[in-house]
Amino acid sequence: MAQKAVEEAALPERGRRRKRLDNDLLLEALSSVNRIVKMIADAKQAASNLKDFAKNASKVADQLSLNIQQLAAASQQVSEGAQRLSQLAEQSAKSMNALSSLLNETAKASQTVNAAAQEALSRANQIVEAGSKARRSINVIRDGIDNVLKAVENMTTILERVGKLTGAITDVAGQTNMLALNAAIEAARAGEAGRGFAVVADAVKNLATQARETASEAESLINETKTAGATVLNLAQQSSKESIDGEKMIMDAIEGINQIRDVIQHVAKIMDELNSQVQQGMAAAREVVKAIDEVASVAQESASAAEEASAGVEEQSAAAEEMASISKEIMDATSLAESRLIEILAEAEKLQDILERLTQ
Amino acid sequence: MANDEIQVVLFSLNGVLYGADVHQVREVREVKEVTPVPYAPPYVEGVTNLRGEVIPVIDLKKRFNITEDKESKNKIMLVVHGEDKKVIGVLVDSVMEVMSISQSDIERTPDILSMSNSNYILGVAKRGEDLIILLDLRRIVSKKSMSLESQQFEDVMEGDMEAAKILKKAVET
Repeated sequence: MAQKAVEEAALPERGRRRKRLDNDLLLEALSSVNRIVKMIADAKQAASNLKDFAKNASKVADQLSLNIQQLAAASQQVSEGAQRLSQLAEQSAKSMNALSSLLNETAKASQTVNAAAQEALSRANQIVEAGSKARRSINVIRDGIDNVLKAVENMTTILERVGKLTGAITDVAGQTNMLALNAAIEAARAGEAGRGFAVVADAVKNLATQARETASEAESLINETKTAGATVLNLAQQSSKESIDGEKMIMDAIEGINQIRDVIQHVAKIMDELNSQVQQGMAAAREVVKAIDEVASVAQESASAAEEASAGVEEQSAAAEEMASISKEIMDATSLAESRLIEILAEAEKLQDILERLTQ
Repeated sequence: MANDEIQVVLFSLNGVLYGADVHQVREVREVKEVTPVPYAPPYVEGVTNLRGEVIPVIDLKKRFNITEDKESKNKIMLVVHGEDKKVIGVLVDSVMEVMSISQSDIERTPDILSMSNSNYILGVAKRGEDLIILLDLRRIVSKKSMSLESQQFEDVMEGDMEAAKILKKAVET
């Protein structure tokens, strides 16, 4: 108002009216300029604020980009680790397969040994059976020999009796001979009268001699038969003894084979145990292979997930970079706007100043 | 029977053949048991029972001083007619037969054989390759000849007895 008064005072009458009109306009312009200045200042302030925001946004975007890079590196590491794990799993699987095939071969070998042991066992059984048959045969032979022994002993007894009979015949022949001799002596003493009797005595004597010779022959035959019987007896006894020895040998052999059978059975049992252990080992190996497969597949999944993550991160990274660059552009634009606004403000203030002076 | 033949009983001692006239031999026996007699001469085997009759038995080999070849298992005895109807058993190895011997086959005993014990041997007969010594058994078993030799034996025995007596006395003193 003071300014208005000043202006009015400074103006001539004609001019005063005009001056007063101008002054109002100026005042109006001035207030408008004031509002503009104020608005520009506000805009400047807003631009400055926006610039700060954009700056912050850029910083955040940079940080985000950095984080994303770190994330990318981490996911790369995860991917690499997963790949290594996958490779290790593959190697382990190979090793396990090798072990498995080794176990398989061991199982086959143990089965082969077991089959061989069973074969040996059945052969041993056959031999034992054959040995038992041989033993029975030997027993039959020994019974036969015993029968021969009894028969020979029987025969010897009979021969003894026959021998006694021949002895009796010899005795009778001797006595008859004696009688014939005495008859011959009597006949001879009787001279011519005893001639006929002498012939009879001679005939009796001859018969006695024949009887004695026959008995003697029989005796020598009996003795020969006895000797033969003794030989047979001896041979039979020897055979009996040899059959006993043979039986003992067969029994020893059977005993030996039984011992071998025990050993084979032991081996077969051990092979069975080995086989069952190998089967368990194989089952365990299969489990391990399965576990390794799972690990491998998990690793594979991890790797692909990491790759996907990596890809996502890259996209994010690009977005973040884009965001950063947008923030920067915004900042730049804002800076430009601010500087223009500063310039505009300066001009506006100049204008304001002019107008203020005009209104005074 | 021709007159120039004699009937002999043929027997053997240690495989040598001897003959004795059948008239001197009563019979032939097998002797089961001979009982020894004390103080009898060595050739006297003892006595035996012949159908209830006790007769002496002499060993002809010992009588003849012939060494024993073998102890014959069966003792064959000739029963001989001795003097005075005495009967004596004579042990021989075996008795073969009764045979005829022709006088022409008999050779008289050479003098040198009958020097000591005269007339025991009647002669030697030939039969093929074999020789048969013909004995006079009756003379051999006669009391005279026996006692002659027995006397010699008894002398020896007496001498032994004397010696034994002297020995006994010597021991006692």
